Amino acid sequence: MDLNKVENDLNIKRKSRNIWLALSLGLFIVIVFLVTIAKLSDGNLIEGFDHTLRPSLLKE
Amino acid sequence: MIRSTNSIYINSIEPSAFDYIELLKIKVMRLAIFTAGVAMIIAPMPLNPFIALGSIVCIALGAGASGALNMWWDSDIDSVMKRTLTRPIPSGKITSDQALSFGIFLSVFSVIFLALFANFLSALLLAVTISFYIFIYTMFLKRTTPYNIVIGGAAGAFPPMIGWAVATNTIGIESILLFLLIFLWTPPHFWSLCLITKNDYSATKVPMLTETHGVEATKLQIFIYSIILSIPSILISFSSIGGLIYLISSIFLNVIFIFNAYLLMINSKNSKKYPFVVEKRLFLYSIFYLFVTFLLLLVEHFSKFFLPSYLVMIEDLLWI
Repeated sequence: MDLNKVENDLNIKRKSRNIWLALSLGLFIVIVFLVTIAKLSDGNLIEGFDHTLRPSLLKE
Repeated sequence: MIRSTNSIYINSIEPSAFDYIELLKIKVMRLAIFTAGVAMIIAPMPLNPFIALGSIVCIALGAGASGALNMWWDSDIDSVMKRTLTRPIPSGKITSDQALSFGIFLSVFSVIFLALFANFLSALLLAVTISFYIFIYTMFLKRTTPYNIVIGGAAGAFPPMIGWAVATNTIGIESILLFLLIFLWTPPHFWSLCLITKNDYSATKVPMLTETHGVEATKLQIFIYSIILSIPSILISFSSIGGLIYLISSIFLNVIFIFNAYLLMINSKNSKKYPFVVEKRLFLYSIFYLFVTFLLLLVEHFSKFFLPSYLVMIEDLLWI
């Protein structure tokens, strides 16, 4: 078994996997960002219930 | 020689990204994405496209996680069957432990993020889908009963219900009908594949209907299911997501499905030149059937925006 070649092949595989992982994480960050923007655009939904009645809790 | 030894050694210790992607059963994932996506679009509540995108990604990852966990549990069967021999675990590209941890991670990840992106109901349905596919179908039904695919088909039928829940936060009659459509479509679809790959299953201990009850009984079951399938398929026409375009097309699609199943039932000869030609035709038609049915639901949905208003009015009047 050619050890140098094995090590070289292993590094190529690792590098390719790391690139894919980085791309997936990047894409996921973008999705989380876009969903956050979408959710923030409807502000009422992110107001937590603080045991006090406020107008936004009442349905129109 | 050195090269082949090297590649086996490297594959066994260092799986590539593509090996992990292969674990996700992309073909099954495609079906889940398509049916859930259509359900989101045709649902009566408008859905923010970014939330829809995030939810679709979660549903796809959940479906992929089920595939990875299924491959982990069934690696012994996969290594015997010709059709599944090249999957990542039997071919030695990925170890069972790697597949298990990948599947668990994706399952938890997809459910949590679907709850955050959309709502708890859809996340609960996704969790039920993954659990049903792994614990009920893969671990129990598949190796115990010849009707494994009938009950197990429920797992594949959940995605449109999840898509509907993402958009509406409810389980409506429409999503139940979509569930029933895929649930009843799965047995004739899968059994026609089993008829083609019969020799594969006989090498395993999986009690497929083709093995336990024989080919003729399986063909009869396919025919019966193709008739039952037409009920939810046509009933959808009379729900809020259906209409005249869908009804007429659906009748045609179902008649052809039943006719193909009938031809399969009465066919007892297997051509040596073109083996399993009737079985293959039904199998391919079943894929076409489901794709076109969901496509028609989209057409029906968008026809309300594009058709001239008088035509929409006539359609509405006919439906009262």
